[in-house]
Amino acid sequence: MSVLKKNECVAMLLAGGQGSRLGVLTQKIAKPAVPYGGKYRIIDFPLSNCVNSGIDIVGILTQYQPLELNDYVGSGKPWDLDRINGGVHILPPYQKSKGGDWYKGTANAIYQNIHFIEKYDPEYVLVLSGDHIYKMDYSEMIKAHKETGADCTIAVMEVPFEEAPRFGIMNTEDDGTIYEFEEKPANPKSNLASMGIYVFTWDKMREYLINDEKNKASHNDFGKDIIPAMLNAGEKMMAYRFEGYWKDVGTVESLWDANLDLLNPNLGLKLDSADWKIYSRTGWLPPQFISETAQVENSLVSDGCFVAGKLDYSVLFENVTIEEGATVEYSLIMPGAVIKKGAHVQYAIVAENVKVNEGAVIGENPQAYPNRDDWGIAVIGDSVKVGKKATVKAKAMISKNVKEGEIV
Amino acid sequence: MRSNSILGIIYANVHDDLLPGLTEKRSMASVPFAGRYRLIDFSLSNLTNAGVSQVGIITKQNYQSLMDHVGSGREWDLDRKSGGLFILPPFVSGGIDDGVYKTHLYGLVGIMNFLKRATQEYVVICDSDVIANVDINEMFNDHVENGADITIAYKYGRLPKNHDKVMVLTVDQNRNIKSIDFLKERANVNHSLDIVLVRREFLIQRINEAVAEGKVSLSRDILIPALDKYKIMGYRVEGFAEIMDGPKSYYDLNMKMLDSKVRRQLFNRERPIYTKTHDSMPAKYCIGSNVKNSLIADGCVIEGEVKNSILFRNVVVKKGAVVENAIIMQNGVVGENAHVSYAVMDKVSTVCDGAELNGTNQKIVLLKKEQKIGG
Repeated sequence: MSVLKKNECVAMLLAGGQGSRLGVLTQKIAKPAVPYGGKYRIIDFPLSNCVNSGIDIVGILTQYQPLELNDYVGSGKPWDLDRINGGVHILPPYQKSKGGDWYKGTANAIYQNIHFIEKYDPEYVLVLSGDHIYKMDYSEMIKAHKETGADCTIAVMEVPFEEAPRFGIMNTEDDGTIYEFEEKPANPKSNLASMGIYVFTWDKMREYLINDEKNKASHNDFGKDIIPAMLNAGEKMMAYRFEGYWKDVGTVESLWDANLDLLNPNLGLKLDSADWKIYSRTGWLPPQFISETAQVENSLVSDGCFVAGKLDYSVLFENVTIEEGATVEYSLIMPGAVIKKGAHVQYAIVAENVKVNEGAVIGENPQAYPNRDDWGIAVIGDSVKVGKKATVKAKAMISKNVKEGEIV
Repeated sequence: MRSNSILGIIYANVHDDLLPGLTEKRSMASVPFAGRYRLIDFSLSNLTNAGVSQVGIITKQNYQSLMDHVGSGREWDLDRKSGGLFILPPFVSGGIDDGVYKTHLYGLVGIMNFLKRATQEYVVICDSDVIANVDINEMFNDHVENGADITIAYKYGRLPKNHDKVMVLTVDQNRNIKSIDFLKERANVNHSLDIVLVRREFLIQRINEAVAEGKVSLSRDILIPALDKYKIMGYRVEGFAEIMDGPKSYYDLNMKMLDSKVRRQLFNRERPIYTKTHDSMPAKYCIGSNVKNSLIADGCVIEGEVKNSILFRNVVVKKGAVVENAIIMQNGVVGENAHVSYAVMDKVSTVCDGAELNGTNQKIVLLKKEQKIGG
């Protein structure tokens, strides 16, 4: 890790998006507040990465359903970000003397908070998003940015060529200079995908944000407007290669995958390693209890859980109850959910405080589907009650209570 | 009740000698318990759950681990601008006690300035060897409604084994305490849980009087003589409430946490037991693990077999290992094909690959902090 000077870099974390592809999981919460890995929320990753990288001024731009996120971040204490100078600041849109606006786009969100950044007078601004699971030392990226004298450095990672059309692709010279940016190209020239992590030299960024705001046709978005504008103007744009685990958790399936990755011994994802810990706000729950009748294998289980049933290849978040005779496989069970006797949950995401009653069957095995596209993870939304012996099929997205015996 | 009308006082070093192995490097208050707690968490949480916002912890020796655990008091919501948590180390006053108090009374004498400077009307004094979830708010309301001068929390049950120092109370039907005795033999009685509620000024006066007369004991020289002059009430605690009274009781009381009914009484949602939080991952159960009837804390990685046991944070049980009827504290390691039964492994201790640490139900073995066997 390289050492940053005081106030050298301010991080701006874009946390205002809805994450609509997560469906019922983000009905009441912003995407960065979505639970992950048993005791974390997605936002723990950028926040912990910041503090571990020595960046202790973080602005969190919120807009969509911010209440739970505000509560969760609080004073920033769990991430050691309650500081006398800097620390973590929640930045919602606000009323100004000449009216006020919602954040129109990612660039506009930062434009509206230019005064916040100016207060610290940083040399660099790091722009982050709250939708990825990864551990990254931002100070190394800032060091590279300084060494190359770039105006903007974009973190990239190699993805398989066949997946490249799903990403924003950076076409670079051998030295990493970006000469072209293509959003979701059908025929990619490169497989370097943007990770949505940018370091800007602040003076330059400020200039582009102000000009972008004057352009009425702009979407006020980093990917669509700011980056192309800087490229067109011939600013020095560098790609910074990242190697390691990085996963977008913007869809139901990728969120499910990223959680189960924690169980993969080959990936060896350790979130509490002494050199790069991921911090989170945790509650006051007694340790988990595994009863005489339980069968637990290949799973992560959190504080406050009570397990008397069968559990395989799953992640249980805090305070989950799995009653005797219930089976949970290949699933994520979020905080406070209860799986009653004889219920069978597989290939599913069960959100907070859901109650799955006796004998209900949630989700299906993909092998039952000859055409894989017909299959999907079953998702039960926040606080839903699934009646006795009800059936929830693969790919279902449930936001209302399911009656006894009902098939949905 | 005004939330700041009670001052809390906790004795950190009570009967440390009863747990010789475990208190070699720590106070009774910081003895680990039930997978993630320290004993003081119970009294601290009882106080803060009743809205107490200023707590003094009277320490005597080995209190480094305690200070590390309580920190600024934030986890108990005691990181306050006004009030909050105070660690009160021994203070050489030149009195008969040379600063390191030997009795509960002299523990209070040593913090007289703290008691005098406090602004709360009432004081609750607690010991740190009591494991109970006590509604001190209700105890307080009871005290005020009955116009009591002193209220002592008690339970009905078998007297702790090694305690001839536990007050046995004779309580009438109106819960007035009629006599306080010390019994030599164990019996089912109403015995004190060493939680005492009094008006602060009243306590200071009684202490001053006792000290002036050369008295040394809180129970014998203040509480018992007060029976004739003042209204002393009992507040009966129902449910799980136990006093730690020796290595066997340390083991047995931990094992009681495997009883769901006990856990529900102790760890209820209305009055949570707070403790220092850490950043361990959830516990990981690997392929081939087999866990039954056990309490497991965050950060554990289990590949082997665990039965009727309590694992604290970050314990590793490797492949082929068997852990039965054991308590393994934070960062303990049980190596491949090792066998641990009827044992207490203190923090950061290791049973190496293939090694054994086996006690019996009658004789629990202790592997001391940072020690290693086998290998």
